[in-house]
Amino acid sequence: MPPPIKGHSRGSPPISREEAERAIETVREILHLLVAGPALVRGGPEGWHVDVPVMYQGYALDRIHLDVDKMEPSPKGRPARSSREVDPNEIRGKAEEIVSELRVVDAAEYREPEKCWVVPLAWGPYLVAHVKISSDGREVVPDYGLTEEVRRYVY
Amino acid sequence: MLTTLILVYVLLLILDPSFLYRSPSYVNLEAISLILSFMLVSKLMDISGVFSRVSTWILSLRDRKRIILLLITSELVAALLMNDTALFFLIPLVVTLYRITGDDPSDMLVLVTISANVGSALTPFGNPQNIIIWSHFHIHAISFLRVSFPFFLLSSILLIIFSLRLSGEGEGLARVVPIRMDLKSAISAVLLLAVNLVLASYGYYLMGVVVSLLISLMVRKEVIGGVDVPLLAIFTFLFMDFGQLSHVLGSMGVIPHLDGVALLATSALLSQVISNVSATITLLNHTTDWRSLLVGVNLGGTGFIVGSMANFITLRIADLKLWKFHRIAVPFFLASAAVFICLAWTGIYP
Repeated sequence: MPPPIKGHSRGSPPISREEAERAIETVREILHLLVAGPALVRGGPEGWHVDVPVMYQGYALDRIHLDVDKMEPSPKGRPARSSREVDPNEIRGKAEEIVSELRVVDAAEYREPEKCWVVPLAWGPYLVAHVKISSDGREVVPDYGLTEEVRRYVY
Repeated sequence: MLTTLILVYVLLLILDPSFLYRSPSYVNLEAISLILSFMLVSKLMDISGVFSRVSTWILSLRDRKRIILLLITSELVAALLMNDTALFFLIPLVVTLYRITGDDPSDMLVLVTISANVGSALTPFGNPQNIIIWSHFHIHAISFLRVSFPFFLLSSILLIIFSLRLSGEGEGLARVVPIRMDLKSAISAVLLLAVNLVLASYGYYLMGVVVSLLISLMVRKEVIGGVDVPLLAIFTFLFMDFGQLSHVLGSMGVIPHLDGVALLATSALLSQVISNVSATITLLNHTTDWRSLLVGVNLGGTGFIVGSMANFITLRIADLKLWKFHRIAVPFFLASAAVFICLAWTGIYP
């Protein structure tokens, strides 16, 4: 008997093209309400690493890697490192500007374990962040781990 | 803030080396356990998205109804979730609303912050100073509410009077995409809150922590990662630093035994200088009159920015100017201080 395919679940609800389209539309609807959270700055042996959280109604949705030397986002999956330490207040304006320039990509992937759609956000030629939307395409699913990280920066 | 408290600890150690052996005894482990338990309950409720959904609905309302309901919601959410958690999602919502309408959100932001402080005063677990007083004096929850409710009610009336200066005009948000709701987390949070209240009333504080950790792990494990360890460390150092200061000042006769109106006024004014949690720890061992202390430190949460740690959340999230905060918060503090000091002076309350 061949081994089962990992991730297959008999209990998963069916998904449809309409739900994917609705999820994309939902992200388009919230796009103008997205704001930049406080920049998360971390130092390491390879240099300084800056992430800008994308916030919606006080909850973090995803983080954008910021290339501080070029003052522009780095593609998702490729965090940029800088040799100089950055003051989070210094890049607040730039972070807001980047978030306001995000656009929605007209496609979504489905993540079965989380039962949600994932809609990519692009800045220029890069995919820089994702927004998770519930399987019916109507509600936003925040990243609670990141939200807590952002809130700690506030104190 | 933690760095400052550690530096103060080192300074106190230099002045009195015996502080090293004495300092652990200043830490109220019961209060720290309760703060941790209620922090977990609060995170679980926050993650459920229920209060976020209610607040989003309020923002869709029009006119003065929206302002009043938003302030009442802020109070009730703070009473159940702790004031800082309430502000973390209410402040961005207010900012969103005003960003769309194009109006200045400053006054509303300050009133929401005051309402979170006022609301958090209602329950024994609404804010850290209440938890400290509740556990230190082993107060029954009903006795606590008998004192906190009149404070909550009178302050709320004052808050609504202050809100009259805000323009009630303007459209609500047409439609706001909601955050995903998780009823399992909401129900678990309510049950866990009840379990913690029962366990705390019998003095089983550590068991409350264990039960809260286990339930959180079973329902939403992200909640465990959300525990703010540095914040717990801040409370631990606050206990040690201000416990020592209280001990030194007490032995020098600077802090006499206080009660009644003198305690109420002293704790309110001291909160304005060193924050209400620090004022609570400093005065805790110099009184048996927990009622006046409770009213005084909760009164002191508004006014100057240092009054409560929650005030800083609004300032940082909304990038609010300090003078805009004080323009409303200080008059509110003066008005409420006048009311409660008069009541204490005449012996009517608390």
